[in-house]
Amino acid sequence: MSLPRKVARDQDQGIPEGDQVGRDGRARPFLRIDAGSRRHRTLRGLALLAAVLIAAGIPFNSDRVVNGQLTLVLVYAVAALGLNLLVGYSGQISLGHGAFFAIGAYTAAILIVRAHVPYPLTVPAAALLTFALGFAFGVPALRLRGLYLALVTLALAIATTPLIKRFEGLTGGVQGMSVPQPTVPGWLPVDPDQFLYLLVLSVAVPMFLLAANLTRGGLGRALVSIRDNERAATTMGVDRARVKSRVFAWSAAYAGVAGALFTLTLGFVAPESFNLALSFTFLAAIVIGGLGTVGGALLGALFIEFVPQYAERVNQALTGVIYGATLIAVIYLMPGGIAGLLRSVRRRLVEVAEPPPAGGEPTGGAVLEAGATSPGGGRRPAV
Amino acid sequence: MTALLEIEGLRASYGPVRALHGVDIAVPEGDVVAILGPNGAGKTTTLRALTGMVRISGRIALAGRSLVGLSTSRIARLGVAHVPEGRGTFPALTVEENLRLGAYTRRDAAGVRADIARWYELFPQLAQRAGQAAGNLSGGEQQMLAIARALLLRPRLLLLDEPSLGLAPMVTRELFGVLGLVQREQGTTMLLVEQNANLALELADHAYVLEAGRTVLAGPAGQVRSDESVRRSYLGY
Amino acid sequence: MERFLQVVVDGIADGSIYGALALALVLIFRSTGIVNFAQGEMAMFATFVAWGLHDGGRPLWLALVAAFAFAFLGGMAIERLLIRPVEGAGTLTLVIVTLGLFILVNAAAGWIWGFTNRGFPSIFPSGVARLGGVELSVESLGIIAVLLAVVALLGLLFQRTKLGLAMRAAALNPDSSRLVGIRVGRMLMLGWGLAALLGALAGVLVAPRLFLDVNLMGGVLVYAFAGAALGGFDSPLGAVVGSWIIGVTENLAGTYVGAVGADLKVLVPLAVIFVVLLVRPSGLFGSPEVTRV
Repeated sequence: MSLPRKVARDQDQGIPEGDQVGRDGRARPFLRIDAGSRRHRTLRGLALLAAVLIAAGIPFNSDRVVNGQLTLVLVYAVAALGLNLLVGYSGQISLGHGAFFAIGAYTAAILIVRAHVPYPLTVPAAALLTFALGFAFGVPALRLRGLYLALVTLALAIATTPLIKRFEGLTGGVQGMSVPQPTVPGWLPVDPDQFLYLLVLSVAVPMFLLAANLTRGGLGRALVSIRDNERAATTMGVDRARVKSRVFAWSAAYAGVAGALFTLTLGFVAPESFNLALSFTFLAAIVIGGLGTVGGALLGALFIEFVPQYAERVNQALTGVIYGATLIAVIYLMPGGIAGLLRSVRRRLVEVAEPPPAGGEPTGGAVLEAGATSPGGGRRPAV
Repeated sequence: MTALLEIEGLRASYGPVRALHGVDIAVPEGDVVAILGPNGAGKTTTLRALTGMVRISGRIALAGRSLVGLSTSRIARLGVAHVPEGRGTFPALTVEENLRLGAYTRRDAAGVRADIARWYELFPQLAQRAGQAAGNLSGGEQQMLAIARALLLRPRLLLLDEPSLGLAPMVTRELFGVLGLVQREQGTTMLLVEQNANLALELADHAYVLEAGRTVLAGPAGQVRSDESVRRSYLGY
Repeated sequence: MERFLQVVVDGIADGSIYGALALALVLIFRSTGIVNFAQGEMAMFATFVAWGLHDGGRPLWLALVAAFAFAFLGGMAIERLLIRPVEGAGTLTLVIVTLGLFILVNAAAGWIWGFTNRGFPSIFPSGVARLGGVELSVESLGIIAVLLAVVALLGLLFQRTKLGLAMRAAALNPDSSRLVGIRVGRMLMLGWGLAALLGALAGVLVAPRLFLDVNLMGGVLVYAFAGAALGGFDSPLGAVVGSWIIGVTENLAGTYVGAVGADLKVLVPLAVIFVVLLVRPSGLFGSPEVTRV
């Protein structure tokens, strides 16, 4: 991997991009855009619109099975997004994401089956509940050093399945619960699988936009300042504990929303779906997809949905081997994950130049494109 | 006659900041060499360069053998004992354990025991606190421990970084007294970085003055001592 | 009363198994500053190696010795190749690497040996011993004796030998250690090797009691975490005492508290982890500095 170039290039204004994946040689990009300029924002808006339109069009061109898989990809992407907020941007470790996912899933299931709540309400309900629980959990837990936080969240994840089984009356116990799925409204000429896909998409897109906003706004800046220098952040009046708990709460809320969508998509919940492996899988998704990037959540979700399908046909154990080996390989070879890899490709074509050091406004895309939170913590592993 | 330690054209940097701009020092075997100079002159950096803790270019030879690029523990195993600014003790371990660690590279268990006993004689306070955690010792006692620890290695070269720092004058005198005693008894070659120029020049055979990463004065201790600028800047008269 | 003593002794025996793995965790925590999430899986793998050799006709003692040697070398290799390059890179990186290792080793074992259950022979004779009118299983007593022996040996190593002193020094102050000539990297490797050995010991002790399959150590790991958390992650004594407490508590709860069925027994150590980490993170014997952000 080439070393970051510290020398300013020709007409560059000053700050090099600062990411760890530098460009080799003197390859000039085809296009240079200034960050934050109208051109930049227009291009980004257009790219986003194109992406959404393409995404919305997919289900009409593929079969039921693929639609189902893609719907799940969107669900996992939302969950991964939440975890990325916590781990990638905030640098906190959580091995318990699956627990909040489960809470969201069962909230939706219980509300629909036992309380006959219309399904659209279950998603916000799940979000509120998991947000509150995430905050409540976060306040004491986030005082702990990283390792201990990992352990506590691990305990949460392990406790999930047994606890679900324990409260049989509510959760249906080991056998799980069948949940009636959303039906297509009469006036919409789409198939059920297409409808589910579009439903989930209509939730996922705002969630992605919200995440992008969160990371760029006040919360995002507070997070960056905390992650980079905790003590300085405190003296500047950033209440570490509150900010971290808020992030944890948001992350839990994302998991909750994803969980509710999961229930709606599958029409069925069972305790074994929410075991420890699920939390590990989410973590693998964001690391492989790209820590600290919004796009990484989607890439990671694609990975965890499709890789096992092919791997399992070869050997039951292959999925695990691939996950484990890829996780380690990513850390060593491409800490920015797949998103980081794609970004370095994109950089050869389009360069988004930082403005000269005025207020240090973060550039387009994810705030932490610089990958400062990517594992490696600033230091490349010497492999 | 080649010196035990020869430093030629030593350049050292901390990242982009250059701390040493070409330092030349020769330490003859059996002698004490003092390095004086103001804060930030590069005195500590010189010692750290010798024990492989800083990126350097130039020549460093211990009895003709190059030390450049060797790891810290390798250099220690070659017989270079370094008492750094932080003293290099193990606060969580006992005094006795600290001393035993000093002798880690030695194979003569009986000799080590005898040496430790000798150090308890020289520093009775250490004997009293042999079973206590080193972190509980006073500043002066920790410094004694650090020096004993370093000398237990039976080093060919002893590097001392500001031994008097933070110590009361009486304790410092005692310390330097022991250093002098050891030097006479065992002929240990010493390279001493000190702010207390008086004490350093009393003990030393030769002296170098460093300023802003360069040698500005060098010579026998007596000569350096009577030098005008030295007297004014470092000796106070 | 008899029953009570039996349950307590069984609890201490269980706790001894957790304690062996907890000791491994503490050893690595003290030397490398991280918790090795893959410790249990490494132990499971070594246990499978022992099983494979024994199943292939070797006598049990030989299979065990070979498996222990394998574990020791494997632990050293993992430190040198996988962990050393990322040592300074922050907790998140190390957690992810050890998690990746967890997943990889678990799957590798499944690949090599499949996913069906197997039996594993106990190194102790079956049967009971009568002590003061109470019937206690020989196996339980044997396990406790083995752990006590291990603790004694480790104590001797670390407190009375030069090597042990050097290992402690390297863990406490790597910089000062280098100044006295200690090869810190080598000490870390030894620490990992030793920890892997302890894990393998836990594996072969627990395998006869449960079924040997890829998920053998998953549960044990949770208990070991709880024991180490309770005792304090930087205290070997704490690891053992904490694990005994967990073992006894779990067995008592399982026997006398009706609501705690087999499925929910795992909630006991989980609750302990929760409470300890949120109330007193340094545990019973650990030092407070290691826990606060």
